[in-house]
Amino acid sequence: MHQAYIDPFMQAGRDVLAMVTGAPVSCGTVAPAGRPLTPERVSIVVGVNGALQGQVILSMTDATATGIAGLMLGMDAPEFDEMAASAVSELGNMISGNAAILLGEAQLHCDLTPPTIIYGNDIHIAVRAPALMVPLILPLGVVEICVSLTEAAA
Amino acid sequence: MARILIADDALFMRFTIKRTLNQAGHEVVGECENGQMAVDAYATVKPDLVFMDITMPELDGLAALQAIRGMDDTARVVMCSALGHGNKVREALAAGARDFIVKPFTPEQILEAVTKALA
Repeated sequence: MHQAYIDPFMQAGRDVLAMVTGAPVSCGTVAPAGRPLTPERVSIVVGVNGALQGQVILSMTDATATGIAGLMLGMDAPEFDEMAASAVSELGNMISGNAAILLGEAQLHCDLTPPTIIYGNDIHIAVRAPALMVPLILPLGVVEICVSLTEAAA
Repeated sequence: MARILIADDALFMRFTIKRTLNQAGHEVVGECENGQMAVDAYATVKPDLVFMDITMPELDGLAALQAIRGMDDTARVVMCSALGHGNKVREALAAGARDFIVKPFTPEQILEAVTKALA
């Protein structure tokens, strides 16, 4: 997978997370992700169709997800309940949507599926193409963004 | 202050938009999880404004916008989406949306769009 495909998600992830949490966000190093993906306990999966096809997966621990949801809601989120799940699911939607805007500016027009949230231990997610992963580092934890995209057949 | 209908499939978005509108003194007269619910609710409650997401199940926001404008060509609708590229914005405005804002947005951006649409 071209590294250029992960750059819009890294930029959108940093910008959206900084806006919704009000906290500084730094990007770690982009690296190949294992196959299958073995995410943290909370994952948000968004499908990509159009000029690029594949999946984008956000992954974080329970504590990070609950902390981000609390900041997004402007109130304490003591547990990962339905409202917290909806908040981090929407986070995946916002990051992917903003990345799609950047891809569109590069003439790579893509549509997105609604986000699916996966919650649990020992999850394995199969992706069709090799994935790249970048950690986004916040004061309250790390959000990993895995991107597995290929160019659509002509 | 206005009577506003919210349509978004995300519980979180309905909660935060409703809180912002209520704090500004607006009345939220309904919350819908899909476009069809929004069309049905519009016919029933006749809100001053609809604040509607694009990507929703059953009937998406653009189709719901067209249905609502088909019922009432004076309907005021503000569209929102995380997928705010040019095509979607153009489609929404061509279908009669008063404004289009891209997620994530601040409370100030919500209220600015509402004020502009109600003017």
